[in-house]
Amino acid sequence: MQALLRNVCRSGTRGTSLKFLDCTPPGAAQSFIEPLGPCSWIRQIVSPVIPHDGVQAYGFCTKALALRGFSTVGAAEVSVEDEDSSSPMVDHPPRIKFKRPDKTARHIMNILNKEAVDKVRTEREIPDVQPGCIVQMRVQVPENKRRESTLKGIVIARRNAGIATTFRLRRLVAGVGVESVFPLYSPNIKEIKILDRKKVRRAKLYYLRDRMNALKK
Amino acid sequence: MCIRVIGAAGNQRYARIGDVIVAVIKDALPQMPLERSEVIRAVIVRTCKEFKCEDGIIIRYDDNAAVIIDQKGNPKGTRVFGAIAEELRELNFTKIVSLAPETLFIFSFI
Repeated sequence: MQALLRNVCRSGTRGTSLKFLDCTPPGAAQSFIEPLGPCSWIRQIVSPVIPHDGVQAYGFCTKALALRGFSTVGAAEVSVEDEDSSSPMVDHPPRIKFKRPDKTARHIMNILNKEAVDKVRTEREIPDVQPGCIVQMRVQVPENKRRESTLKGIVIARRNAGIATTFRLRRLVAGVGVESVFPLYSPNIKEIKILDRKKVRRAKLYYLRDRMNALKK
Repeated sequence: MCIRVIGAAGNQRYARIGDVIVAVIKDALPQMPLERSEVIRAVIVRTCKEFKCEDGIIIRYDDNAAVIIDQKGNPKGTRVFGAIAEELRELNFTKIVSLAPETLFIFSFI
């Protein structure tokens, strides 16, 4: 039953009714009504027997085909259209589930990412910034003044994402703890200098938020 | 305590850094010009919620703070504590920015 419906939907715009009717014995038309109950787009068959040279498709074919923009007027042309890739009776070639790895977009994006990272690395020297490093960086803010400011703090997190790798810096500013997330490869960061490396046993040091030491954490 | 965000559109529920809010004083030190349960205006200068800049930098303070202002936008007090972002200067809160002990330029830098 489902196979029949699939055939109907798959075949071309013309000659559907004829093809469909050729598949089914006329007596079986009656039995179509009950299983199709739950399908909302199927109306009951007007008449179980549909004349062969009838031009319209009656019954549940109508609504389905109307939804898909089909019209069965002109049933004299029985041939399936060429752009329809499958004729009802022919099997498909076995479908491949996964693309070749070289052709996936993921692979291409990885290559682009790596290229961008390499390009930035050849221009500037970017040290290996890991959580637990105490880091001093010189940042230039292009927005208002072209002044370079130095920031000093501890890296509490690092998120690897290719060119968008970011690290989280925590520092004390005027008695208030401030955490900032900086893109590692940002052109605004002029220089990063690692002052010290602390031994930590964690990748993300969020516990430091509760421990506000007076010293440079 | 915040009562209302001034100038917020109907679908904006929460105030951010730089927004002016209407607030009521819940707790005050004894000999101060403002007392408890006075309705005042304040501008938010620090939030625990992250603020995102256009160049990909995200800033997050450890506390929430606001500066009490009058109707015109001048701070009522004479001193301001803690770091203030330079963004407030563009929003016509220049007096607050000049009073600040340390300002963060464009939300980030000392």
